[in-house]
Amino acid sequence: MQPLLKVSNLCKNYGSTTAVEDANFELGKGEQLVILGASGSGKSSLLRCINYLEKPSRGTIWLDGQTIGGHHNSEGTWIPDTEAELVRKRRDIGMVFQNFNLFAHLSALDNIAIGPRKVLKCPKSECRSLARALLQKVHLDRHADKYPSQLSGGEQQRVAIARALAMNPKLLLCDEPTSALDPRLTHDVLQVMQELAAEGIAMIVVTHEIGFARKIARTVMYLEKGRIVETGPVSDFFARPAREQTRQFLSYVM
Amino acid sequence: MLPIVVALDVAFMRESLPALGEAAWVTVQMSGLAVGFGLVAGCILGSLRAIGPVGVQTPIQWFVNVVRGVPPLVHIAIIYFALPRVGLFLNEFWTGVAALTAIAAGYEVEIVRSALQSIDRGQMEAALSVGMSEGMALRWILLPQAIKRMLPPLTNELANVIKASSLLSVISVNELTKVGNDLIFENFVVAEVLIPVAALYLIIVSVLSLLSRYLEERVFAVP
Repeated sequence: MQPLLKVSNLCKNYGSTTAVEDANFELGKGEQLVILGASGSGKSSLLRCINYLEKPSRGTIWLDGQTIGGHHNSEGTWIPDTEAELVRKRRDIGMVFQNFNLFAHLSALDNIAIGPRKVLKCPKSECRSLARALLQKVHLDRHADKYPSQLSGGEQQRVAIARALAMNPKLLLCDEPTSALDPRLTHDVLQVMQELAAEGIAMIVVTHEIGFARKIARTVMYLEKGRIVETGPVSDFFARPAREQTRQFLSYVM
Repeated sequence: MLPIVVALDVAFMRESLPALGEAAWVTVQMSGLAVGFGLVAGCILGSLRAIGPVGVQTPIQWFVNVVRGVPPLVHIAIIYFALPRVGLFLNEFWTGVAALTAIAAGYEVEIVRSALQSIDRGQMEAALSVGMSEGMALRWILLPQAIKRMLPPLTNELANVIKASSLLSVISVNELTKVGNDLIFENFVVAEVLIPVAALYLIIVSVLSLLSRYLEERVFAVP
């Protein structure tokens, strides 16, 4: 079966610094992948390259059989996507940020509704009822009219998840979704994400929450200095990490 | 103090008020049009400066430099003499509006740019991640948040534009200052003219300030 996401030979350099070096991996439909690694190991860069928030320096990304950021023509020359094509493809990839990045001037409900409303041009009433349903899904139906500044961090992050889901993405990217939250709020966010995983929403999650990684992910990937140094099924990875460095990292976080 | 007040020719003031009122209306119209056009141009150019392609940055920066670097009076004179040379024959009123618009736009570019750039980068990234283009992100996410931050410096600038309109007296536009000056030289009175002229400018700018405060505290208020 064709994988949902295929990343091959992905590299990202900032000047002479290499953030991601030759990343290769696949993700099946409905699967969850957790990316672990120390700060500065390139986890976020890798994630942000997938939806072209950062333009990869090299490499190809396929989502559902379609290349992102451009395509090879019949002669094998790389034709970059126009802005409009890229924007169209980005719709299929939702993103959840470490700092939530909710739209500060919009209520929780409008934060969720604005994507479908402006991008998909759905009728207003439809967008609002979709947003209400999603707020219910993240257990925040009572906070529809609150602004981001009136919500706790955990509530903001759950609104942000709902906002990403409103575009009905094929893949959800989560960039350290709980690292700005205290344990109590983290729990609420992880609970929602676990429910999504159970529903079969494909996710790539960069996190330091090992317990959470164990619960939701099928596969774990460990990054070091921009390289994927270890990949494996969740059970094996935590029980028998292949490398000494990985074992050491795990000993800090477990 | 009292003798001066008593010495004012109140009858003359009452008599000349309709003429000054009419001139004030010209001032309001010209500044209003210039502020309106200037805002549109300033927002477009300022947005391009903030997120536009590199190729347009230099010409916009030059425009800003020229407007900032040339005194408004010289600027008005240049436009007055240059427009007919390039085949544009506008009357004094529209020449004045054109000059004021350029001045307003030139200063607003930087106000808009700095306000847009003060918005957290994550807002743009989040907008892109829900499938918006940069243009849509600008329209629906960045500008609505930036407007609130623009309002105080923008109000300053608009007040300057209103007062700069007084310089249009040099190209014989019948705005408030020109009409006031004419009254002074025709009737050899000073205080009776300058006091109402100053008061009328003050009223116009005060209305603008009130409007700005209302927008900032009510319309664009976010808890």
